[in-house]
Amino acid sequence: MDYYYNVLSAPCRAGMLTAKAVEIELNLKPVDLLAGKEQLADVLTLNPQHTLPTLVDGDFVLWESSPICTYLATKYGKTDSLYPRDAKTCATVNRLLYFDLGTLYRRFGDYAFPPLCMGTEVEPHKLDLLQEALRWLNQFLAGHEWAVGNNITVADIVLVATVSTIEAAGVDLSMHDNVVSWLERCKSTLPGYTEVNQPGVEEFAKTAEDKLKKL
Amino acid sequence: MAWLSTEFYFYKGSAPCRAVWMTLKIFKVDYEEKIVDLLKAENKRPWFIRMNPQHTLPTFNDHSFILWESRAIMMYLANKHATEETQYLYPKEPEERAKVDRMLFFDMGTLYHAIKEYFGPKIHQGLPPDPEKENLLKQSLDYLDHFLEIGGVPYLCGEKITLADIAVLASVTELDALEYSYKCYGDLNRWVERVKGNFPYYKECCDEGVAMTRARVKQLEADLKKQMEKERKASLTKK
Repeated sequence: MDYYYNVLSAPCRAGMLTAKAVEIELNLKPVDLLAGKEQLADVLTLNPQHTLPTLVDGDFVLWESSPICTYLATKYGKTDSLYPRDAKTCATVNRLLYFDLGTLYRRFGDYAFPPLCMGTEVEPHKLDLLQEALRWLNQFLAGHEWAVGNNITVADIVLVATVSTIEAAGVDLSMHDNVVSWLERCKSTLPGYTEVNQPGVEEFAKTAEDKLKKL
Repeated sequence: MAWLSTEFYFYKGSAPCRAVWMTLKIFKVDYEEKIVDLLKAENKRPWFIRMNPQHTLPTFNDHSFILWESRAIMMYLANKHATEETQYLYPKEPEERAKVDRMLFFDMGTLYHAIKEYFGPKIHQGLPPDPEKENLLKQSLDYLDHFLEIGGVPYLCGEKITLADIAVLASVTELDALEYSYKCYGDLNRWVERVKGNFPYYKECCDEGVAMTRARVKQLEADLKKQMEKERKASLTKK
């Protein structure tokens, strides 16, 4: 199973964490985002949207990181605990996957990517919007160990890839108690966290160091 | 008594609300309509925020189980209410389901995002759309057109309509409301006509909301023009 990815990208690491959780070996194909068209040829042919991550499972090509995670969990999970079949639990997991894409990761990108990629000034109101999203996440995590109830699901995996990257970018998480304790729980408990997520987070931190001044 | 009922909180002028509305209809779900007027910020009232701290629409209350994010609601409705006859809308087989999920995430993260970014100034203030964001929109429509071209099937994920077609159609109706032409995208245009013609609840769930948005934008534009004219005259008399 081929997996085209870049270690700096949180969505890419979410797929890798899910593969670890279901004990699937990925044939990792790192993609240098600044590489020329010849080197990117594989991904460009397989995925007409040219995005990472891209998964190739036999003849089946899939992209969009959350669908990759739910696909791996559904097809290869020994039980349904990562992506429960119960309609309400599944719905809350899905809600958080969309929250990650449309709100949390989106606001993080709006805040961090212009300074990181184009060297522009950091904008305080964009940080305010990100902190608002983190306040919501903090509320969602109240009263239980994991993102949805008391078992690890793909919601934890997708969210931790994002939140660990937000932390690496130097964003202050200290006012969000539930996020802080959940993040520590993820770091020490999620299968393969240190091997799969930590290197990318550290590299991201180095890239972000000068360009994102701590506000 | 919220725990005895199924409530759909929505605003007809919102594309994601229309997507869920169409899904409720196709699965023949019993529910109570709860219109929330976004223009009057009814979603920011304390009772709504208690229910949904993100104060977004649509929001769904199924006997005190509260859910938001339109596409999560659509997937929930399919998981809960699909019968043998309607399972085609959200297939159970992992690869087929993943294709639908992929398009739902494309809809949120790429297509509808681009529509909001480009048309934000027009929808909220009657200003011209943000020209810097038009490339993003064109690229999203290009991708959508290309998926349909290479797919070789009538709908986004296969031979039959799925949740993906419903969600993406709802986003595209926003372009209709804002009078943005996508006719140059041949496969996209044909697919739109096909879904509009074959999905039984399209007109009922989209016509009024599209008309509302169109009328509101025209009103905002007219008000802005009057305001600018007033300011222009005021600056002339000062000289």
